[in-house]
Amino acid sequence: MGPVLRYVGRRLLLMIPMLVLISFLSFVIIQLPPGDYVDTYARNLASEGGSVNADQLAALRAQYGLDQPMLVQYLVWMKNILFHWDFGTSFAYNQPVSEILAERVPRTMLISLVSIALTWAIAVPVGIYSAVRKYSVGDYVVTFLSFVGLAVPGFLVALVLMLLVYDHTGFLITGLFSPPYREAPWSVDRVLDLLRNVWLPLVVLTVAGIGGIVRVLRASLLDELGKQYVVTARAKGLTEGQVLRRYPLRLAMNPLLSTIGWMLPATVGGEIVVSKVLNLPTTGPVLLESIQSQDMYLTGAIVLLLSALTIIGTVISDVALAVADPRIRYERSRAA
Amino acid sequence: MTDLETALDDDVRADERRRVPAPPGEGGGYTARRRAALLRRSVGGRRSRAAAREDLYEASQRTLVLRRFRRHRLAHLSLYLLVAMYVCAILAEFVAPYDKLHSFEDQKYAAPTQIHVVDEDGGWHLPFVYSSRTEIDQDTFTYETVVDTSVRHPVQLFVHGDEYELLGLIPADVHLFGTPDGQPVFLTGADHLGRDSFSRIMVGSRISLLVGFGGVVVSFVLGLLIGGLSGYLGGRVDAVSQRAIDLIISIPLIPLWMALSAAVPQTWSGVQTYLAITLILSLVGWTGLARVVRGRIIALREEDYVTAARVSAMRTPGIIGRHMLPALTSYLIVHITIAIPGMILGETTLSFLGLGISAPDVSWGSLLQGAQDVTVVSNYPWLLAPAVVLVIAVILFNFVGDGLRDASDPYQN
Amino acid sequence: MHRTPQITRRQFTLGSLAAFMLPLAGCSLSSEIPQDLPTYDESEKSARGFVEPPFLRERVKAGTLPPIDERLPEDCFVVGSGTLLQPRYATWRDGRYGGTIRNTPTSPTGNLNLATGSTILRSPSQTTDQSMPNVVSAFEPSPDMRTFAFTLRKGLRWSDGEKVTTEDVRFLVEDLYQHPDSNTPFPTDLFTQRDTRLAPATLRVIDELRFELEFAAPYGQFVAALHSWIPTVSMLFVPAHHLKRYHGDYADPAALQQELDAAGASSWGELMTMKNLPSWSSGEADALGLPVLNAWVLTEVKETTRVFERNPYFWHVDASGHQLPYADSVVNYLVVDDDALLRAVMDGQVTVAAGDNVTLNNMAVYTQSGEHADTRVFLTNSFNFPPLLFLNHDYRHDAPDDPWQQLVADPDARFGRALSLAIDPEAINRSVYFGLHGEPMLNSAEHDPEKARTLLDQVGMDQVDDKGYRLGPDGASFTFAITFPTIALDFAPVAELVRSQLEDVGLRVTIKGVDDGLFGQLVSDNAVMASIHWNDGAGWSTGISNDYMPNEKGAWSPETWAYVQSKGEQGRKPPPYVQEFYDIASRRTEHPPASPEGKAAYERLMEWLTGHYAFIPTTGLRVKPNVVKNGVANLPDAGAPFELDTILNLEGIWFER
Repeated sequence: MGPVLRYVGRRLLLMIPMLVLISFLSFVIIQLPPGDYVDTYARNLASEGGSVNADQLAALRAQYGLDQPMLVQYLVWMKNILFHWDFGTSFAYNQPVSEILAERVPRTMLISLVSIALTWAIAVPVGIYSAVRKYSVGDYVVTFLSFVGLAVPGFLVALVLMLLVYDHTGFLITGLFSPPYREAPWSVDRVLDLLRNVWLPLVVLTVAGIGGIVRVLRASLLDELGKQYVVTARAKGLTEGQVLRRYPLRLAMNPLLSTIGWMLPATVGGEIVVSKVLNLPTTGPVLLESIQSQDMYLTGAIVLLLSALTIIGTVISDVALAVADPRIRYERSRAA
Repeated sequence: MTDLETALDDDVRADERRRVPAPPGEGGGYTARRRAALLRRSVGGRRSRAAAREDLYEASQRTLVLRRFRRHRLAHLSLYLLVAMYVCAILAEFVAPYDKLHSFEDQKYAAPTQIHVVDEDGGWHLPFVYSSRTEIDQDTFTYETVVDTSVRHPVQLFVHGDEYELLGLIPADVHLFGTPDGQPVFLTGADHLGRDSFSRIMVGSRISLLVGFGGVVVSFVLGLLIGGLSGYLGGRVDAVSQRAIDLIISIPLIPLWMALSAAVPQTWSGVQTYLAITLILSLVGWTGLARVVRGRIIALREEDYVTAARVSAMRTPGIIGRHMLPALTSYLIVHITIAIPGMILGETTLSFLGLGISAPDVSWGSLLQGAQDVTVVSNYPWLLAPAVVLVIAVILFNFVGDGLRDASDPYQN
Repeated sequence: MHRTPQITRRQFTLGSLAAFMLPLAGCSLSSEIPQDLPTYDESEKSARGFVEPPFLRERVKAGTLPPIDERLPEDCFVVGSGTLLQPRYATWRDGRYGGTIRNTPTSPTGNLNLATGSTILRSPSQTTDQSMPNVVSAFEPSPDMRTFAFTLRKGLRWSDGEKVTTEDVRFLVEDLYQHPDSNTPFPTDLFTQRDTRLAPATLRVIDELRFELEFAAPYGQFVAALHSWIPTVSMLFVPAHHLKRYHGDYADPAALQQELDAAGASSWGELMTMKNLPSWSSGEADALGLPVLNAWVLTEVKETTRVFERNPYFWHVDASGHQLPYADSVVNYLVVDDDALLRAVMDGQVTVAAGDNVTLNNMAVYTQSGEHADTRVFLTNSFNFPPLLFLNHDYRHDAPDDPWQQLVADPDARFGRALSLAIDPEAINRSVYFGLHGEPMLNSAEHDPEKARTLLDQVGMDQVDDKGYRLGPDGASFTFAITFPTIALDFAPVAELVRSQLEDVGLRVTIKGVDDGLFGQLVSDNAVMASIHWNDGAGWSTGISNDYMPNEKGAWSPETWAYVQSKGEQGRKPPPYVQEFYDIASRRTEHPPASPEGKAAYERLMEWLTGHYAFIPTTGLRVKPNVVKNGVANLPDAGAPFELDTILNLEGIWFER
């Protein structure tokens, strides 16, 4: 484990300059679309019939610090984060960014983790079954269903399912909770209400993810199962289950493990489009809305958070890969 | 009879039981069979059979793969259907009965037109449609289709209709099917402006199926190259490229897309804009493939045959190309067959967010965005047809990918 | 070798779980929150003849709130038939206390800003001719319309019980508007003739209840601003007693520093703009604790909920002795976007859905869900004009001999007229609006493609290219490029129909829908030739709205506006015909819109705008649906002129069951 620990340590150290670079890059990109938050505010006001004159706009800009050059704004933002642990205030919500995230991120993570767990719990056995029982009827059915799951856009499934349920039962899913339970204290009824509403996003998110994993697992498992050592193992008298578990499965997980780390930012970020369609109070819709209204600090904080998680996730992936696949060593290649 | 003759007779009877056909060019019948059996047993016969087996052994990788692919019937069929889809996309204006912007008066939200062969009185005719139009129900504010069964319009092939330019060059006005007198035939209904949904799906398939192709190719090449080199060479090259990948992954896509939308010159058409943005995004999107390729290559470079190749003074690109790539092929193929549909679905999502194709251009994504509406899903569900076509396209891609993967598996017999 | 059926077991579990949950969907847990109407005795009146709201009785009994006779001013504003809305558009019945109004807006305040925006003067609906003093008890403009005298209501109090005095006005004008560090500049309506180049109002305080405002030139339109829910009462009144703690000149330095740190502000000016919120932001978290002059006060802020409760000191009463509002509270539940809002309406979660919370495109959904949601739909006309085709008169103004400039600067405006003749408002009405919009209006009333073609020939566009499209007057190819922001569902279909109608007369047209932010940028860069947008045209005649200015909405002349605003430093010097507009607009502000001179000035203004084709209506007068719960009284009747009245008058609605 020694070299692995050293490796992890090195990577985490590298994370810091990376984060600085990423923060600057994301700040630039967030600023790229024309205009700024004050423009959004003025537009919204105008569409409701109000108006602001140039002086009022200038005052707002000064208040938000948006009249400074970009580099200055960036440095101020960085200074606040590093020295005060202050991620700024959201213009649109008029709340500190950290408060908004503290409300939303745990919820997002819960939903994401449950749907990921469900996805893997279903996809891995199904993928194994599909590979082992190749060309059987079961394989074809599974294959077909996983393709359908992959292909249909999540937002469409969400809407259609929602309306089907409404047509047949008169119950309309309008968020995580129905109106009577929204701000109510926790109770058995509230839990039941949550279940009634949350099954839809879970189904949509899970179905979308299963297809991809099944395909990849099936393909790489088929690769491994065809190899010589599997024949040897069988000849040696191991049962199918043992054969499967010893090596092919671990090696077949290789492509899945390469991307496992990226589940971390995905968990926190949540699925944007489906969350928007289903009116879930998670991070996704907030990110989308803040980008569109150019709510700079909120967007910046979320992007920074997701970037940091991506880097950590990559480290996790690499470590998982090394642990699972004994062929991989990270020392310098002998070719050099 | 000699032993040989008995044996030959046995062979012939065995052949007949197995229904092996008589060799060609020698006339039919028992004599031919005996001759064939003799040939099989003789040295010359064995030699020719051996020659055939030799062919098989020395056949190029590609021939083998193709031959195995052809045996995978589902994938084979899917390939044909996919090619048919692409042909339809290229010849969209011909296959589609109407222009994508042709709006019919009094046909808003028309339901799919039913094609009949039997009329009300039980009489048989060539395929026809009745006159129909839509009217607003003033109580529910929905459009109802009203059919007038007194007039029949025959549906014919190769009718003259809206003018278009085939392949953008040749002016033409012939369409695959339609009615000679202009009564609309809406295979999948009409939208809120009375435009034929089927025609729009056909024309939209061009953008959805083709435009993202370039992006997928670019990111595929980049991912393969960088992932492969990074995995094989290891060390500093690996570290630098991995950190670069981490950097690129963290770039938020939606603001990037919005910024690019704003930066593109106003004079570019919707499709050109989309193509440009897709290409740029593919420069950012190669990372997934790169990481997986790298993972595989790191695993593979310790293999003996790679060491052997290195020892035999083969150059790095050669080693990667000839020895390591084939082992990757199955994943690469799966990746492409997921990447292209992924590109199609990505376009759908972006159009949903309002960042993709917008009017007057049409793609499956923009059609679905228009259908993503409570009113439409409840009252005019035929406008969800693009989703069905989308699903079919993705499924076809995946079946083909499956077939290719199975066919290229070197360990299958 | 037998394989253990792992998947089957898991799939079974999942399947049965799903089967278990689906029935839950239809079981007795209801998503309807019933109205909890209190029972009380109507005849129990106070000495002055008022009925104490049951919602407040506890607090009065406990002594934390004065009884109703002491809370209301000497002279209350009585609301009855015709006060909030003309009798021919609504039937008024005095109501009962109780109930909660529920909204599901996409922003914290939503369009509750209208309902919570008290005005200084009040006239029914969007008029100014039956003016009654509202916050003030008397109002007297001078004959030359330069000086305006106000008398406050004696005994009028803020929502926290403090008296409203002229100190509130003085603090606002002298210590905020005029103070260099306050970050609070004068609003447009307080500039003479709404012109930021001229002097703002001068304040003269006479005593605790009387003050005067004086302007540098006749400014009759100020009367309309006093009625308008756009600037509202916060144009002149702020709770000085509350805001002084955030002001650098008044606050104790230590306490001020604490406030600054708590809010994360770097200067008291910044702090002041955070705390001094107008009614537009009455739902923001910072509005908690801010005394207001509105019917409801913000009392609770949660992540996605805002709760407002009745203002105990609200001075509107009805003839039966009830203190308005009838509804005890308002709850805003925030939703993610308009689709979520639609579903909330479908589900019956919204008491009154009107204004920009509803759209005609969704009529089928509103009517179909009426039974399940216990709602009804009625149509009213709108404060907004329908989508208009704007022509940017400044496009390519810096290129000499540009064909576009030739076409728009034509003294006979033949190109504009050709466009308006080519547009078919009836077809667009039928296609996009179920035929419900009004008759073709203004300069698009006539539809005659043949005449349009003749006019286009006359302006020199008689040559065609090989595809049959007209060449420009300079002989080169000509593209009529329409850009529109994708802010409304109907813009895209309207744009497509306009395009086909214009192509019908031989023009080559391109349409492009862009994000609203990008649209704003394109307008600033003067990169838009023509656009589709709406404005508040129906509210111009009474002066409630003034968004006919060249930079507003579709922006028919942004560059000349920039020139005028920057006093010549940027933009384009207005050519004589555009300068004519600015003169007419200035002249108009001299008179109250309801006066004969004001009406005549308005006629001249509309004549210029329509005659020079600043914009062309694409269809007839807009019609909007209003989706309201059954059993709610004092709502406008179908056919009322402005959908905004449904929301503006929420103080008057009450629940029959």
